[in-house]
Amino acid sequence: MFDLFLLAGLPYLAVFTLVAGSLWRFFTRKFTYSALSSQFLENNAVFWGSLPWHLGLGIVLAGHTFAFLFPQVFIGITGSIWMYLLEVTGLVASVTAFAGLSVLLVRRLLTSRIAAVTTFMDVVILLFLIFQVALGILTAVLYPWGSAWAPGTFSPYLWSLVSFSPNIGLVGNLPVVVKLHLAGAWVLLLLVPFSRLVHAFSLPFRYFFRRPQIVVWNKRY
Amino acid sequence: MTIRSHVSMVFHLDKCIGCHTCSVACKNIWTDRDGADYMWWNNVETKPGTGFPVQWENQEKYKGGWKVDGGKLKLRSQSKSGHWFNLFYNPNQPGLDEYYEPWTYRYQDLFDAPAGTDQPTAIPVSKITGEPVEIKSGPNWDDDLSGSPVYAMNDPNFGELTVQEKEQLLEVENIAMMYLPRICNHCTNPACVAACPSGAIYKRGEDGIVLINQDKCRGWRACVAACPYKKIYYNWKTGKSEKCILCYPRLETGQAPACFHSCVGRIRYMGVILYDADRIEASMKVPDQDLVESQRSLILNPHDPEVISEALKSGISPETIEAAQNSPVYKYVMEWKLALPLHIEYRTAPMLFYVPPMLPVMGRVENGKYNHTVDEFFTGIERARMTMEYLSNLFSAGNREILTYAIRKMLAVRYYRRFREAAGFDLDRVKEILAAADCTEDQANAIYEMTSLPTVEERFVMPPVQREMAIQPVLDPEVCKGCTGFGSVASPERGL
Repeated sequence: MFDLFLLAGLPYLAVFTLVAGSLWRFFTRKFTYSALSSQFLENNAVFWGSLPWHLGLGIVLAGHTFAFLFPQVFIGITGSIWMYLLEVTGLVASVTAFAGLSVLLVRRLLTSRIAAVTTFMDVVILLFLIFQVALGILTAVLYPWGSAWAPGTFSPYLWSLVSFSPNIGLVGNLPVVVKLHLAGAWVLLLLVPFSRLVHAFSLPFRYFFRRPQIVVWNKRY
Repeated sequence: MTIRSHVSMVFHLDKCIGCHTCSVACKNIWTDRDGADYMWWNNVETKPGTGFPVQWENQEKYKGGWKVDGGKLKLRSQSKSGHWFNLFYNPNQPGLDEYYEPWTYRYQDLFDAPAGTDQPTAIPVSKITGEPVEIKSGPNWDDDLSGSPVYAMNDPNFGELTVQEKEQLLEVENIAMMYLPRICNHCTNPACVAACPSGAIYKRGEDGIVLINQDKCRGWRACVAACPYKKIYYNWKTGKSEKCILCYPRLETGQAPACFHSCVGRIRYMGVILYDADRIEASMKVPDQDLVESQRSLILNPHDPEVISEALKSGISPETIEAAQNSPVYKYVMEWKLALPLHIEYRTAPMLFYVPPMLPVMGRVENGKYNHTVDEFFTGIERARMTMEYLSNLFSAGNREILTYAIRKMLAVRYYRRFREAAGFDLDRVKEILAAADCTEDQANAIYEMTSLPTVEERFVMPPVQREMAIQPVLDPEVCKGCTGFGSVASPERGL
């Protein structure tokens, strides 16, 4: 029953809240969308925190997304050089992300200038992220070669959710650590509209294509 | 040719007394808020000096402005792909310590202190953390300290000054210094606009004012790094960047910006300039030495019938063209060539021009006597206390010829006016000096009138804002929602 909520109810709740909440926030309180950088107040530790965290996260997320979108690519990967390569890359990236997060947390709690701009939600988010990354690393270490077994469990599970016929049997028998990692992801998505995480939607892709100068006219021509 | 109009500025440094009234006027109106308390949209620096934030002119450190790379103009601070990494950590962004930690005093302690033999004191506390701070620097920490080796010797503009030239500048007992009031230059080729990943910064089409859309800004801070003048500030509380808005709400109601209006020395002029928007990039790609002339070539003569008809075609109103014809800025920059851009070598084509200071330039103590009547006239410029080398590093990208031209002309005007007001000057000699400075009697009188006797209406020639032509009155508000005018109507709350 609890599994049903965490793995089938929570995902829908989370995604609905994520979409509706972020849109609501975007259209009613646009000003609150910001990366809320604190580099200005503390210029050293942030380098060792923010950069490794975001880069590590980028690689790990790219891996997860790829496994979700193209699970068939991973068929027959077991034991091949590609599997080890993938696993090592993922492990290094997640440990890098974990180290970055730890630096960020310590910095946030110990620097008085940062404490001045820290909200309750900032700490909650940081702790959740650390917890989530730790679970991911644990999964990789305790139940190795995820790149071999995840495309047969994690990917179809997500697709079953996407097609509105949730099949939690696909992941129901996985170890607790893995299930917690799954549930943690849904909780994080749920928290996005209520936290600074909305800045992820602001990734500036359009910058590549725009002209250097932007001119806005007051008159109508 | 696409002609645009620009509300542009001249600061006459020979008249600046360094009183900071402009800074205070601005601070009281715009930045007296938490998060903005360290910002000085307008500040006045003592030169030689390190400025605010410290050493802002050192682009080796801050990487502001543009560079020419493979025949193209590129930002120094980031490349189109490299900017991704700068989102997470910007190596070129100055931190709080390069500005200063804003503080207040615990005044309550003065009342609450127990009776004792000592005077109670109000200790300084940080406005960010509330903790006691030891004040190490402030918004204008090196005011008038030009001769101090700690500050002045660190000035990035010294470059290739000879030892003798440096000594000339820094003779401790005879400090030579000048004031440099700075606001946003509202550049025609703004690096901040080009750097903004969110596309939140824009130039207003009608008057060229550079603004940040606070709803679009995501606090990536690329603009702070890209602006070579460090005139964009990051609000640490709201997580948005802010800058000088040239008091556009005042401009739109026919008033000069607060810093202009409050200026005690009346050094500030404001007027319209017409320029060719198609040639901006091309004009900023020439070698350093030619940049001043190249920027001047962008600016069009508002009296030229061809320019007028083109301007009308580009949608510029007849009222704006008329304002451009009466613009004091056009006179200073184009007709008299007295006003020069600050650090044009950053290639942003700033629209704020400075008439270089003459007073600290010419005076010289010899044998204990202050002497500024140079017999050999123009050759005295070369021995000036504020050396031409230094001033040209500030105002003409090292081109001494352009800088000296302005100083010579000012000197000639002064000599001519002395001839008009006092006895004992020879007319032939006066004419000779005027001719040598490329100046006529009429021009000398015009310069004198505009420098010494201008009225408010002559100093600030602003075009009518033409609200009746704006989008809001002619378009259904539902259609143009958010496309112009007041974007944000919510209170500036920090995001969670």
